[in-house]
Amino acid sequence: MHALDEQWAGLLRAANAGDRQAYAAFLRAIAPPLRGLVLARGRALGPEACEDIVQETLLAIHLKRATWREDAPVRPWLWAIARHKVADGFRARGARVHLPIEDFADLLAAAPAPDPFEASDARRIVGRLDARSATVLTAVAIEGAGIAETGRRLSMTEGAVRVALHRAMKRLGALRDAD
Amino acid sequence: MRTEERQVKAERPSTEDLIARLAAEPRPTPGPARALAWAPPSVLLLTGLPLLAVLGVRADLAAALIDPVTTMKWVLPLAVTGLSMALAWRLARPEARAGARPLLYVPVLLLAAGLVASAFASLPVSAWGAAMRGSTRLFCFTSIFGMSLGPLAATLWALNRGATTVPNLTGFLAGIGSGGLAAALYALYCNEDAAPFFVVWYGLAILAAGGLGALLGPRALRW
Repeated sequence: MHALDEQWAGLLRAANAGDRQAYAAFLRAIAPPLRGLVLARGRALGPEACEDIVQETLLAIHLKRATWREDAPVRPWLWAIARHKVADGFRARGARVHLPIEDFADLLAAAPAPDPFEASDARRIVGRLDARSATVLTAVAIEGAGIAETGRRLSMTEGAVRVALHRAMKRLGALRDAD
Repeated sequence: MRTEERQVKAERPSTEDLIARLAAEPRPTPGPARALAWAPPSVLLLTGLPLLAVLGVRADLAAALIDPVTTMKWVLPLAVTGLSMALAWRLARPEARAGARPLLYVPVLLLAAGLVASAFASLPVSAWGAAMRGSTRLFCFTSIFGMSLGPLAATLWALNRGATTVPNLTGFLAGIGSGGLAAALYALYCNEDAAPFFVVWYGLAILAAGGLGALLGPRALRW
């Protein structure tokens, strides 16, 4: 984790000295873990609101980047801003979210970062499928349940789930092409 | 296939756009340090000096500055200002917490308490109340509180360049820091030199400014 701090510190130092590419690289590097954090805490808000909060936080980091002291570690500074803005963002959206500070201490494994609009777009298209395909597809592709888990839920064999999924994908492709 | 898709789409276009836009912006505006150093004293002089000009400086200022007890009318408030502004500046960094630093006020408070105690020791108990009340307490309190408003606004403005995550506390520190400045200026006029008087009334006025700062903090220091 030290290496990460060093790397980010280097980028941010260069950025504050006027290096735009380093700055873009810094923001790109911090966005995924930030998104992971927001998504982990704010699933109830839905993916679009979460991505909005991610952007609000990035903007705050941008506006307050001069408050980082070059000799200080980057991550405590960064997560303090993130924690503040994320709590703010959740509060503004009326969600009660508890943000224990420990969550921020070590958080850096970039959580999976699905495209938030992908999910809602997908839901819309899935809504145009027949019920069976829609159920299977929603479970597997959107909610991320495994094949086995989906089979258990719908009392189908794994083979049957695979077949249903395959058909659903085909129909989906057809619908998409038709659009 | 799916994981690949995820990786490709890991950066949603509009967040990527935001990053590109932010990266294209000019260098950051500096933090609060410089603004905090010049703004509150300037505003104090700007708003307090006219009042002092009306009131007049005490005639025996030179003698008062040598007297060890009377000197405390400047030492104590300015000590509060120094500690508070330094701590508020620190707290303007988002990751900063006060921790044990408020203990730094203990010597100041002990000194103030010691001054009052030693003044009381040389007075009969029946005279303690009068020594504390003095004869200009309301004017003293109002003037210090009033003169602290300008510096408080300047301090909050300066701290707003930072990013405090404890706005109530930072606002309170801005308040007592400004109150200390105002008290030190007012002391140039005030010739009530009994420690029980100035410890109590300067102290209350400084705390009142601190209370106002704590109230304003969450709004003024929002980001």
